[in-house]
Amino acid sequence: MTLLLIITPLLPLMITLGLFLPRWRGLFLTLAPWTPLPALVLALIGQGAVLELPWLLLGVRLQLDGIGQIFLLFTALLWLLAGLYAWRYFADAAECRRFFLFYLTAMAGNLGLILSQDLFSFLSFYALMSFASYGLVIHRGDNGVRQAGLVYLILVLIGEMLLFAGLLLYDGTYSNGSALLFLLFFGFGIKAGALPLHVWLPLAHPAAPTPASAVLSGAMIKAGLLGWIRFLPLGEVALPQWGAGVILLGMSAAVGAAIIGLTQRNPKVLLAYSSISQMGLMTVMVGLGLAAPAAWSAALPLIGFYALHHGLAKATLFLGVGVAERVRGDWSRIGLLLGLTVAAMIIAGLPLTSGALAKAELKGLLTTWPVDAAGGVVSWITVSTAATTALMLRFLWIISRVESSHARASAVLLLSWVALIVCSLLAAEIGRLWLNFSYPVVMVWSFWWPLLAGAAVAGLMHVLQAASVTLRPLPAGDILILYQFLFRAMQRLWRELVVRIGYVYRQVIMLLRHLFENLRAVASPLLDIEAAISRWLVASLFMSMVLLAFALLLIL
Amino acid sequence: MSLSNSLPALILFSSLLPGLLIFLLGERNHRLRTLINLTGATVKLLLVVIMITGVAGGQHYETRLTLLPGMDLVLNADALSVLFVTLSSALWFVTTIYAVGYLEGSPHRSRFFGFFSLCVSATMGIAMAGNMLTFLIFYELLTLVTYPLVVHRGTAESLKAGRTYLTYTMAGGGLLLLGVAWLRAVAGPLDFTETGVLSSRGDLDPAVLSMIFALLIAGLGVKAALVPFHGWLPKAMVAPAPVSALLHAVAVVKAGAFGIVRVVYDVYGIEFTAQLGLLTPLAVVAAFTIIYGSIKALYQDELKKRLAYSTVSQVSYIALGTALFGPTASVGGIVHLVHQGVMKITLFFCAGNLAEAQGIHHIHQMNGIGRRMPLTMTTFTIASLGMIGVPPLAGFFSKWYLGSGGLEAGQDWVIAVLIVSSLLNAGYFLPVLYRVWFLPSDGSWSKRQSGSGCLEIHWTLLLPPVITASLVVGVGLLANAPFSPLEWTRLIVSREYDQ
Repeated sequence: MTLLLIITPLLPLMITLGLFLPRWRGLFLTLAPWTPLPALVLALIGQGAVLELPWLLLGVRLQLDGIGQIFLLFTALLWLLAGLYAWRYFADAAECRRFFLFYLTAMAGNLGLILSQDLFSFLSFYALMSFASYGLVIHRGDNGVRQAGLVYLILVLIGEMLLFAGLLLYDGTYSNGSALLFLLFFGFGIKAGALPLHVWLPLAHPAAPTPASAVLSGAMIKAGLLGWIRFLPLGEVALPQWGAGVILLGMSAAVGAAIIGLTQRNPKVLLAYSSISQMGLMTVMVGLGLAAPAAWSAALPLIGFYALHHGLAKATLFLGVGVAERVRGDWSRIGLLLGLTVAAMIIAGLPLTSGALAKAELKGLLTTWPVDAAGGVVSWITVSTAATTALMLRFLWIISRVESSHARASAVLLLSWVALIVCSLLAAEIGRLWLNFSYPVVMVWSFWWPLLAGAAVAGLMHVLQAASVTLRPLPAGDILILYQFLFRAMQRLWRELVVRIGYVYRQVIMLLRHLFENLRAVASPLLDIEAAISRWLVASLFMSMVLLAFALLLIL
Repeated sequence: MSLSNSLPALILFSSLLPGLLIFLLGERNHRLRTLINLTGATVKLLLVVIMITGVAGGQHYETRLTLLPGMDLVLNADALSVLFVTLSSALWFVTTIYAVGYLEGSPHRSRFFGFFSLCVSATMGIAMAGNMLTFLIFYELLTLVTYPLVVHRGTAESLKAGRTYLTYTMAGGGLLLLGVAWLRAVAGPLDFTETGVLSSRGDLDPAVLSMIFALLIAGLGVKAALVPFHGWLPKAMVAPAPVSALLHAVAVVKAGAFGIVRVVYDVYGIEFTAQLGLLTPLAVVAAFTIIYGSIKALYQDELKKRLAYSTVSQVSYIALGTALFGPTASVGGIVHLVHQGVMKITLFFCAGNLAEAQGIHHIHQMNGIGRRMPLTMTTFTIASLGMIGVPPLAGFFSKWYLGSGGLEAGQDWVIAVLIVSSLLNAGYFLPVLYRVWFLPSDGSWSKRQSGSGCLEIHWTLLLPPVITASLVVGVGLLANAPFSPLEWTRLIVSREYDQ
């Protein structure tokens, strides 16, 4: 078991190195998609495995705990299936190899950080994943993609810096109070797509190749969530104000992002907004852990389950976009839409799906929050369900219009997608059997009206569009424009400053030079004297030598 | 003579003798020259290993030679000197391999390698100096023997740079001489002692001591490139790549930084310096240099100039760590001697390879070079990520210890300095990496394979950066392992604070 703990993060790195060997490239490329298998085995049978490596970094501890097991299960599954999908996604072998270099490296980071129980290995794996994903985001290499990559990279750097400062302050006691919480929340929040630092998601997800978007949205943004779980004082200290603030942020994301997503036309941008919205609900649970520590023991498995359910279903939707570009013919299109509908309904939370299960548990959990606002939050969750339903229907509508642009899809690609649909369907059973969640009562009005309202909104939008009243989509990244404006203003300010300082600097230098020349003018009489002295010296030396010669002559 | 009083001298002679021998050899005798050079480097490494094991076990090594009554030339080995000696001798070894490859077929090699060995000998002397006098002698010697290396090419530009170099370093040497002489006049001969020697002397006037401190730091700060004494460093870039590599990683710049560490810890004593209130000004100067150097680096298009300004910034991490009171910050500062060394030497090796193989000197010419020289650029990438401080590479641990030392000393602003500096590091390294790996090449690289077989360049130029880049990864990954630089630094610091 301990061997699996090492192999899980190491194997992807070793295969990456193998991809550099010119002669063995083909072999390692064949092996590449299968690399998450040890992680999957570990997730299934390895609970409680521990490994201590005191000589590595500043003492490394790898362990598979309860929450880690859930995270590892869906993460490994997603990387495996998206990897198989990617294996047949690229037409060109060289392109495929380049993709897998970054894909495997990011995978090593993502799998490793789930097992890390010490600060330094967590940070290292986290950085490995973040930086390697940059290569995934800009894989296509055109200008739009570079812009997305730049935004992604800048936010990764900001995140790293916030975490650097936050974890320096982190001593396990939280005595440093709000600065610490602020740094840790937003440091990990960037990855988790928390408001207002979510701006990279709607740019990066559509920029990346489809299998990469699937793991970005399904697995990697959950690393931020895991960071919160590992490092925030959840269930330990009651921080009512902080908790309320985080819940508020989460709720705004859950509702706001879904609404912004509704205006989008690019299916991947729409899905990215849906991810921000769903992560908002998970943020609410984290906020609850801060506000009401007593609720945390129930909230933790629910967060794990929510991450699992959302990861699988969202990855199905992303991969479906790629499938839609590859299948033609009536039956295939029907199959495609059927698969996507299943995944969309899971996200929306139709009866018997993991979505319904998770949302019902979430609402139940909120009743343990002894604040009046709890009821308000429950109703906002209902609103977000309606918005998500509309969003999902809108997505299905857009995707049904996507034209197939490729000759045909490979069997491996299709099979991995189908396998993912099956896994998403099984998620509900995992919750029921493993975590003892129970299905909500569905024969009540309160269950159905949000779904129907969402459907009505989607229908209304459709009608409006048919009457050629279209909503202009907000640019992807919404408030990114604001940041860019601020950034440019600061840039201008800086340039101005540099010019001014340069001017002053030159003035000072000129002044000094002037002074120096004056000094030389003052000193010039001295120099003259010296010249005179040396003349006299030479002359007198000469004279004395002549005298000496005379004297010698006289003596002789 | 037993080993305990000859080992420091032997280590010094293991590079001094080869240097002198090489001067005697003819220019054309390059086989023998390389053999002598590498033998010296290997012998030195072996001797250093003996010294490490000895010092770890509490053994004391000292070579003492009386010059005049009351003026001793002392070479000894405490934990701090062992750290610097090990760094210098290990990097001298790889740089020698590199230099042999780099200068193959060029004129004046005998002169070059002779002074190269003398330069390392002087550094060894600085590392093992047991008192200020010995330190001063080797410090001045280093200035003189480095000059021929800086102007090696003999072009007008390099002669001009050499003049700047001499002006700055001689002036700095003058200040240092003044400080050392004054200190000797008021306090008598002082051997470097862990926890400092001046703290126990209640008879000395604090104001005088403060002025002497300022003189010493200013004199050392010229070589350590503290702002405003940094001007020579970017100009000295005209030197051949192996010289820049050694200059930035081990010899000149580090000699200054090492001197600052010595003065603060082993002359004044960290606790006494803190009492005199001298740490805060030093910390402020260091912090300013860190930020200023990084900002200047952003604006450089010439690769070696950018690296030079980066050195200005990074070396001040050492001064900053020294200027923060508390063991954690001391660890961060001292370990950065090693960490910065391995990272920067890798970067300069790569810059040299680019110039040698493709004639690339400027960053705007580097588009897509990653495909042409993958191994070189991989090592460059590792080293620059290390500089930015990406965990688990070497630079991260320096920054981590500095940051946590800042907190320990109650100076929270240090974290802000570190963050701004890391962002600026990212600002001047990541665009280079982007060009290298992700932009299509616009020029036509020479298709000529200068290396044998499938190598992108001759193995003597490829092996050194590969070794040092592995060190960048290794010292980070194995930070907690016995005899890692970090672990050794903890030993040093435990001896500096333990009273």
